[in-house]
Amino acid sequence: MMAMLCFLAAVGAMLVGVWVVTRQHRLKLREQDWLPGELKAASLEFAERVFYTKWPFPLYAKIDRAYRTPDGGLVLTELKRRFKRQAYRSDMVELSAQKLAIERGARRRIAATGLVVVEHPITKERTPIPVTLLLEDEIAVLRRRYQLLVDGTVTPDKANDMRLCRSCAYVDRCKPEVSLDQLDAGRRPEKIQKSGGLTEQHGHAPRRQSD
Amino acid sequence: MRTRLRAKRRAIRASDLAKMNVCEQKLVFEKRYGERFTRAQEERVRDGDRGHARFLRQAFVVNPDVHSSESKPWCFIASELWGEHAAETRALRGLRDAILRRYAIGRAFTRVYYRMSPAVAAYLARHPRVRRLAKAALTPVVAAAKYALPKTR
Repeated sequence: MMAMLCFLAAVGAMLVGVWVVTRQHRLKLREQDWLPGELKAASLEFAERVFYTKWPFPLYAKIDRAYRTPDGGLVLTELKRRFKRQAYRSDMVELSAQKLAIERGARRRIAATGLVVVEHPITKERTPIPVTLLLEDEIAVLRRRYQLLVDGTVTPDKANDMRLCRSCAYVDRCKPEVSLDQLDAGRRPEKIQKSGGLTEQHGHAPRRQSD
Repeated sequence: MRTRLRAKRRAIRASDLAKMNVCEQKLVFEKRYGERFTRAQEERVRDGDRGHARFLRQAFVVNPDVHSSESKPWCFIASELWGEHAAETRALRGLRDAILRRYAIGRAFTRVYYRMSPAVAAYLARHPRVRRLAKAALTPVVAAAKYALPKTR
């Protein structure tokens, strides 16, 4: 009786083992599906890893994933959940800052192109969008602007996209002249329209010359 | 030491630079008044966190030795069933640290579990019925862990 039970337990464990290994294999294959051709041979090296550098300025960056290519370089990927298969300038800036933190903090070579992986919130389908990353000098310019904004030395630009404002928790503080009805209707109030059209991605009002 | 701490406190995050490109005014408000979310945004943030957790779990399936800053290794299955910081997950973590780690067979079991559990957790995430069954099956283990732990400490 005892021997029979042991045998059944061993067979059960074996079946579970085979099932798990098969599942792991299927998951790995599914994971490979969305990767672009040049990363099929790459290996995953970092996931949700924080990097820090203090030079050229103190910077923290948490990367979603980094793949090591056969030539030893790293390709950064950033996951975004969106209905639109689109990468924005903010994604590019984030990846570029991550590149700087790793290059300076961990002395690793990063590819000049990163991937924004857009995941559809319902179908979970992933689309990799390659983006060319900014240079160190360009990031330094952004950082200077950031510091000026935080110090209150320059006037911040407001987004000129009603969809963004509609979902913003500060809209009452930021645009008290705009009624919520106008926001809900997606209409652009006159006052804001005068400030200029949308820029390339998220819709900043054009930057003032004095900044 | 003090200089390094000061530098770390002054450090900016890559995501702050990205936010600046969405709306500078919002970034300034957040720095001045703290982060604020509407209900819809809160839901989106939670959804994003879930998506990232799944992305990370899949990373462990692809390469179990991947380098990560997240508390590794987690209780994948318990995190999937109850949540990463739930009392049940903590109890099972306690069971691992207080009892399993003390014995070679327990350590071997933990190693096998870490290899296999990401795939099982991914399966549970997609099958709510099996998930309920697994929860029911693990509840006595959690109860036993909660009962045993105060005695071992």
